[in-house]
Amino acid sequence: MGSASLGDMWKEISKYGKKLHDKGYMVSHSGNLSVRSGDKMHIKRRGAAADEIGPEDVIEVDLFEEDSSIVLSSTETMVHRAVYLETPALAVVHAHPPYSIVCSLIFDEIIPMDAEGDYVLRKIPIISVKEVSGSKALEEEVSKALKHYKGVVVRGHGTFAAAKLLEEAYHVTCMMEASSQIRYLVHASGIQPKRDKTAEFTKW
Amino acid sequence: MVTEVRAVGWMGRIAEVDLSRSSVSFAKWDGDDLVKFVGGRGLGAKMVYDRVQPGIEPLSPENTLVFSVGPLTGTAAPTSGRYIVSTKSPLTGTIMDASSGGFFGPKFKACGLDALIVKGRAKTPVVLHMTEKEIQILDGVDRWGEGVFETTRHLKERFGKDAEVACIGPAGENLVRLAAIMNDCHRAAARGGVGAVMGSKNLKAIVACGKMKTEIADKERFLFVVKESNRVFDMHPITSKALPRFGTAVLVNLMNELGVLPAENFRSTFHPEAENLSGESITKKLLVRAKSCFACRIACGRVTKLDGVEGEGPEYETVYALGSCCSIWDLEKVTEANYLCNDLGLDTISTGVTIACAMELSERGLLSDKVRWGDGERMVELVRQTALREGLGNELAEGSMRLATRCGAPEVAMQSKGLELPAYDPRGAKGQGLAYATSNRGGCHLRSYMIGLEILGVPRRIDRFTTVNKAGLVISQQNLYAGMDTLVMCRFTGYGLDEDYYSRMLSAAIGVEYSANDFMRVGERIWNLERLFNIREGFGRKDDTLPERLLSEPLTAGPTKGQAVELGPMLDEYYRFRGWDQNGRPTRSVLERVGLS
Repeated sequence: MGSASLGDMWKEISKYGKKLHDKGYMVSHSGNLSVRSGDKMHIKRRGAAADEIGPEDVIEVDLFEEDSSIVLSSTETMVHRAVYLETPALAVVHAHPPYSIVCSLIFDEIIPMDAEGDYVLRKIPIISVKEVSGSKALEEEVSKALKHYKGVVVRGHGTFAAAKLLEEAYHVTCMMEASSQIRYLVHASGIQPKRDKTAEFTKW
Repeated sequence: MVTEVRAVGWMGRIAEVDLSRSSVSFAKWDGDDLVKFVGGRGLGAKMVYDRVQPGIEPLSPENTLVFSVGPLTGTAAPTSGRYIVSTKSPLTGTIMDASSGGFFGPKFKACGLDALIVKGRAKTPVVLHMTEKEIQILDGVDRWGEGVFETTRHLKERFGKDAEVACIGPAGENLVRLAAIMNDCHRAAARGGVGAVMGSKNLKAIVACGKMKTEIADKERFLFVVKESNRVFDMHPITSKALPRFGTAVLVNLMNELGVLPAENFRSTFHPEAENLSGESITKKLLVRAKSCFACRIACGRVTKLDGVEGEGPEYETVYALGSCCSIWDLEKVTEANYLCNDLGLDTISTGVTIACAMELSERGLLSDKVRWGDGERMVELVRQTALREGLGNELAEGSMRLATRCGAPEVAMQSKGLELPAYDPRGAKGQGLAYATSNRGGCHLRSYMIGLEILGVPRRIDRFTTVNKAGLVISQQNLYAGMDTLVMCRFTGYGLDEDYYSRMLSAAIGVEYSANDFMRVGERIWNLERLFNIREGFGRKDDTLPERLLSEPLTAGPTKGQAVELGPMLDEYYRFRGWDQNGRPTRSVLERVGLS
């Protein structure tokens, strides 16, 4: 349940939940987003509609000790927690943007072909795990990737983005999807692109 | 257990000079400390914590002065020309580090040193001459009494034009608590009276003449990250356009329009004449050319000319302190005072804010001397008197806190922990208020620059008036900046880079992998160590505060009308997020986590 320390934070979570929903990156009730507050995080409640997040739809979860909040919190709570413990992030967005997922089914990593994408992201790793939701392997692989990259795509599942601000994590999510869309369309066209930084940024 | 670390990136050697004994010795770095504290500010903090006994007088021979550089210093990494000076401050009584750009840092490192520890006190003034082969303690009597420009010229004539000089001016010699250490004539390790500590040791100058190169572990990877970092600077409007074109004073008009530029000793934050002090005015009236420090493509430095004399500056902080804070809107007078501060070796921020304090005390009839608001002639004269400790200058030389306290009105001093506040009124950027209050070296914008988020929108703009959720961001910046100071890189790289870039550069340079989180953990470790030093000196929650004016006197006009800083809730949240107790003491679990237990 919302806690005393939640303050107006739910409004921020609600705002970006709605944006992600409206862009089609969070379909109906899927996806989740969270903000770190010291040794706690505030995360969307499991099963809450992404475009209707209210104060009671944001759950406070301890980062260092498990507690009963897991009854209500998001399916991917443990992934969010692992990201906060392994990276300097203060906000995490998990979404299901379609082109990112499509690219994860075709490629082993996504190197943005657009200037904005390579400036912001350099490279988007793709990770592949057997159990793509709520698994220990997912926790480990996502947090490992986000140690070195702003965003990551879980093959066939969706994106995770980490940043200092929720707005920034939202931005990274949008950038991943935009770059994935461009790469997919170029790939689908079958035409050799005149600008491609794959060889360079695969080393990033 | 001591970790074996190859000295790649680092030079792997530290020198210790005991001026009381006229002795010089060298030692290797301890491997664990290399990994835990990396260099620069981390190394300085560790040495000051270990060597400075609690309660010692900062201007006594018992204090230690540490010059340090980092693993990226002198390499192709952007802005890698900086060095750090660490000590116990005679102005604040806290641990202090001050950093400076220019070209001294790389030359210092080229002497084969990661750090130089200076302790004791020479019987007569001395100059240290350093090469990769030796450090000589030379007679400095002839240089004593000279200004910074003259000393630098004399020492370059003697040791060659490739020699780089860091020295004090008369302010440092006279133990002025606002004294800086200057290099390249116009660059200052300014804050906290580090120049007075150097003066207290009778050390006039350090001349660095090294020729050693820094070895890089993985050159290809390193140069790739450097190239990408430079691409970020080239694309970012602040680093590619605003700073090169107008210098740091590009901020004057923006801060004034938003009601954040302090004027008249923080009694207002908006003034119609601020435009006179802007980057645009400096460009039109004074600019000769932009100037870069070592390995920097930003080039925010200003070579200017006033009345036929070429100098450098003024910077944004200087036009605030010597200008708007004193209600002086005459750019020429501010520039004249700036040149004088550089030659006398004074911190322009603390000097200007202390003069503004004197102006308000005078207006209230609490000071026997008359010092009027806006009196540029008098301000310039007070700068000179401060450095020479003449007349009223002898009191100004003690800083605003001591001056205002002696006059019975401590609330008039715009300082935190004794360090005069920089050029952003936190009533218009509440997170910056928390950053000032919790800074380990006192009121400072370089421990956490919330202005980036609250005003400039780097990387995104957040609500500047709310206090909600600011603590986490302040802590994140404090840890990041402490990490940056280990490398040692300019704060302006933070307009485009983040811990991911810094950790990649560091890892490639030294051949030891640091993730972004590892890098932030280094910063957190340093922050907690500095806090432990201050606690040992008696600092605590009572000191994590702001001048009463900012807490309880809402502004009466301008864009930030009605605003004051609600510090208490932010501070509670800050301590909790840091894992400190309610008195601001790090808990055992935090110290264990950061490797300080």
